[in-house]
Amino acid sequence: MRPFIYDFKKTFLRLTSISLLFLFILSGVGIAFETFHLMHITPARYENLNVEGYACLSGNKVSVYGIAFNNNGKPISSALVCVLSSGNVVASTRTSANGFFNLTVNYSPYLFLLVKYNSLERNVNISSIVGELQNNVNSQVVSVTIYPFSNTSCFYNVNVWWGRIQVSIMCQDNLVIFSSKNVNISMKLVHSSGIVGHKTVVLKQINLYLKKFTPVYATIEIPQGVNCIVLEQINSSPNNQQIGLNNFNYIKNTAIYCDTMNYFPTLFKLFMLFLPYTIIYLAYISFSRPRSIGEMEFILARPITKRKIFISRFFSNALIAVLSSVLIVLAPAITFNAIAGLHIPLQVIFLLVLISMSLLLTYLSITYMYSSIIKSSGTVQGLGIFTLLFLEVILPLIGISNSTYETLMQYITPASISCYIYSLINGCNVRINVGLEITSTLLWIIIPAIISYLEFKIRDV
Amino acid sequence: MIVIERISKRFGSRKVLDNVSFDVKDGEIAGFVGLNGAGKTTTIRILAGVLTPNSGDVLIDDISIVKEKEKASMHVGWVPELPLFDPNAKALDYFVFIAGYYGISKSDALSLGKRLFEEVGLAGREKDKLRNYSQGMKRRFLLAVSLISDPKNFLFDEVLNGLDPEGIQFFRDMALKFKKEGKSVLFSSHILSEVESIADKVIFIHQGKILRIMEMNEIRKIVKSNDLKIILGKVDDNVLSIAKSFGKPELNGNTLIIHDFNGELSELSSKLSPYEVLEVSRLKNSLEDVFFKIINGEL
Repeated sequence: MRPFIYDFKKTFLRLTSISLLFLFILSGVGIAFETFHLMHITPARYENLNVEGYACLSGNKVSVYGIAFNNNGKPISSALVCVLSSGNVVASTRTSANGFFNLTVNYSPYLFLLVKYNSLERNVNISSIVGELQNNVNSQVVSVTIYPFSNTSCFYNVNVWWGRIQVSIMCQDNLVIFSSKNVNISMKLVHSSGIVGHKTVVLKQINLYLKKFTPVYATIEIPQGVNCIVLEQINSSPNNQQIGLNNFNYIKNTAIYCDTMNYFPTLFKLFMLFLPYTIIYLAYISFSRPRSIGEMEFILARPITKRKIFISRFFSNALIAVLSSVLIVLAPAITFNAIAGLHIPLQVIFLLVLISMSLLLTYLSITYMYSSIIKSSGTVQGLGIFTLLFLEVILPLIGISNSTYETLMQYITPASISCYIYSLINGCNVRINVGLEITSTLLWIIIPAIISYLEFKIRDV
Repeated sequence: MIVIERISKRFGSRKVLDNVSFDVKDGEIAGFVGLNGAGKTTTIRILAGVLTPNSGDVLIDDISIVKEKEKASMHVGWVPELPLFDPNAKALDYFVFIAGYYGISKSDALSLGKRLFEEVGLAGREKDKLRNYSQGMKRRFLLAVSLISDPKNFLFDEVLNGLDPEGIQFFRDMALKFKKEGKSVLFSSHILSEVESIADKVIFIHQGKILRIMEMNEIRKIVKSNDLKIILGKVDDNVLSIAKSFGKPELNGNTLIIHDFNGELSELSSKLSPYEVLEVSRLKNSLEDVFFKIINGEL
């Protein structure tokens, strides 16, 4: 093996480098768990089982109608559905192929609906619903009165009851509609530009008799930029009660994703205050310390040149920085998926990787620059830490008290591209000169690296 | 063969080597002698490819270490004075690590390491951490490392410093072995008697300049003197007057030294017989005397 490749390999595979990769994986998993902890997220918020329906009281009988579907909006068949009274099963059934179920039991004050699928379960307190219903019924004479219920996860983009129609859009484009009345509805997707009626979806499935409702499952394509969905009843019969028109805000991402993306980038930013230290340490171990103790001289007496030692070590460390950046983002993304089935889009992962990568590469370059100029490895490490604290803590604190300075900060701090990236992820409109930010980010990496190379080349080891 | 061609080196504004030129031929041991700070170590570090000269060139077996360092480094082994390695590493592991730079596979390096450790007297200590090695063991380890590529040229930089007599003997024997094998050895040392005993020629360096390069035969002629040392059983004032007719006498206690002896030894012995002649010997100058004479411009 060529000495250059050998040095690269040895630097890359040293224990510190491998440990660092593990540290970044652990940190990533830690960030994911801490995100869920801060969100107070419980399994009920992400379990891949959703139940929607309504209960109706007729004399002493309580009928429960409903559907079970997963987080993608697909029906779940063969799920066990039980009604429990004081903890005892009084009726049970399985969901049909379209996820539909119905059960009728005698009224009792402690009725619970329990839906089980695999190891997942959801329950609904029927008695409390019917109890409320009874209170209402007592004062009015209604032949059939229904009361809706739902116990769903947060994997929805729209989840509303509108005029006895439950409309859920799960995981972006999968639509679940469950209605307790005979009606056709139209769905208009409204773009952010304000233009209404770009797309209309007409659903004809709901014209069914009350006790034989069939839920509607459909995949609809929602164009980019839609922020509102307008539901409107289409009259099929003049006798039908009109439920008018209603607008519902549409979020492109699911509720759980939005919550996660509120907390995750914040924690990620916090970790990014400390993680560059690991790269400073890596540069210290791979470059500064061997130079300080004379080991670099010893290696330089081998068939390898100074230039090649610099390049192999710098790029080996840079590769570790890139891999660490990928891992610190990928590890939480995988954890989110493993725990909750939450899918972080690849473009978001890529953008977050860019932030950590630019930050870690900047501190790698800066530490190499110090190492080339200063022979004492202790001083190099101290300077690296001071630079990190100054640029990532002290300077932003100064920026808080001075708005003009804060604006400048968007362009003068390392990895300033993060301002733009975070605004992209959060969907905010921030006035940023992206070109300037990219230039600034690249210069923070390239300039110290070039200075480092030139100094190392000129100076004696 | 090592050829140094007019190398100069500056550290900042300080010129530490000025137009240094000499060579060490195959099968030759060249002593490299100078005071502290004379430029010996700097010269050797340039020869090892660790430092780059400001001007001039070094040829290792006709390969320029300035222009073709990677090739030239394969032909030179360097044993530095100070232990320049990671002290926390295990000896054999570190040996294998360094061997990798020569393109030697791990398994080959392990067997080579075991053989060389045995050769330098470190057998059984392969798994020790380098920080636990004594000064002499560290030097032996450095020698083992320098032997990895089986080079034809060796640079011994003050390797005898701090070694016990056994260690000194070991390195002296190794240098002589290399010489026998037709290898060139540049041997810098403060222990001039050792240089004197093994070197074929001596390079004198002072304040970054080569003052003189002398073959050992030439040095031996210089160190040979015509001074006589006589140890007497008893002395009186008459001893000096007797000795005056044979040269320039000097009496220190019972020891009579006659500089520039001129006469017959048997005649002197008979004249001094009343004073009980215990020992008669010829005085020799040392390399040290020659060195200081060169520095002082007396030679």
